[in-house]
Amino acid sequence: MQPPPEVVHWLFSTGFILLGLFLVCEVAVGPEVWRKRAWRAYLWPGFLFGMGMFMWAVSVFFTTSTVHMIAHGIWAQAMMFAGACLLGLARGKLRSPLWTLTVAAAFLVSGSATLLHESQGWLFSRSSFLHHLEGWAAIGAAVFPIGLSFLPRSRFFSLGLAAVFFFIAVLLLCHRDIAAIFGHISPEARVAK
Amino acid sequence: MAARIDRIVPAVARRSRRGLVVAGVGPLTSLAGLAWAFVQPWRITFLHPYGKGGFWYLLGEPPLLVILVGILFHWFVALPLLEDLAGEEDA
Repeated sequence: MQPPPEVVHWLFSTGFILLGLFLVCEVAVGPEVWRKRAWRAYLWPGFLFGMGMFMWAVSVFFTTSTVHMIAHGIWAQAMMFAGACLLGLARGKLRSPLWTLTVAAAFLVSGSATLLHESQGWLFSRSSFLHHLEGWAAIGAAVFPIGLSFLPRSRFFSLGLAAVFFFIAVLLLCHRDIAAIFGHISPEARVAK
Repeated sequence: MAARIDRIVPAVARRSRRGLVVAGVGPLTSLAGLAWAFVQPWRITFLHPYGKGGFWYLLGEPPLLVILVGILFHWFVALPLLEDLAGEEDA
């Protein structure tokens, strides 16, 4: 009953699309209107926390390699910690916008985990290529939450963060278990039958 | 709900660019998924001629997931937000 890895990537992509949509709308209407209903303030921090929880399931059920398990476990902790800090900020328990730096830390940990658990250099393989792209995108994206921690109302950094979520979602949707991406370059890259 | 959409979306979207963005992002997401389904119909696995996978491949159909996300976002997040935005702009 375990889902194929490609399906897991697709399901996670829906979470990233929603994170991006939440941010775009929050920037469009401004934080005052966005927080008019209390539940909306918790939407994207809650989703980040929830996605971290689902990452534990990936760590527990996909046990083909130790590196995979450890990477996803650390990744889950980083996402849940960042989500929890943002929930604290939304609730008012935490006050300093510098807590947004935990999102930057989550991006750095996520990017490193993505690169480490798919570290082989066969970039003509779809899975390897996409994981490298996702990993470096996540590491580069850390600049946006860093910017937001110093300029919390910056539209540039908020929309930049939303764009990164959309980009990662597209990459996750491109995952396929057997379809080659650059199969014409090397016979070692398997072609889908 | 249809009456609610007719009442809120055109009014707010006509009045402000903010409303247009909020009213538009969900449908745009669904449209992107629909366009993708036409460009790559083989990504909709229930159309596979010999059958593929099972439960998980019926659940995870990438273009349909994108369409569903757009609809759910519009229904549950954008519409209440448009109501609040209309109230804010009327005040």
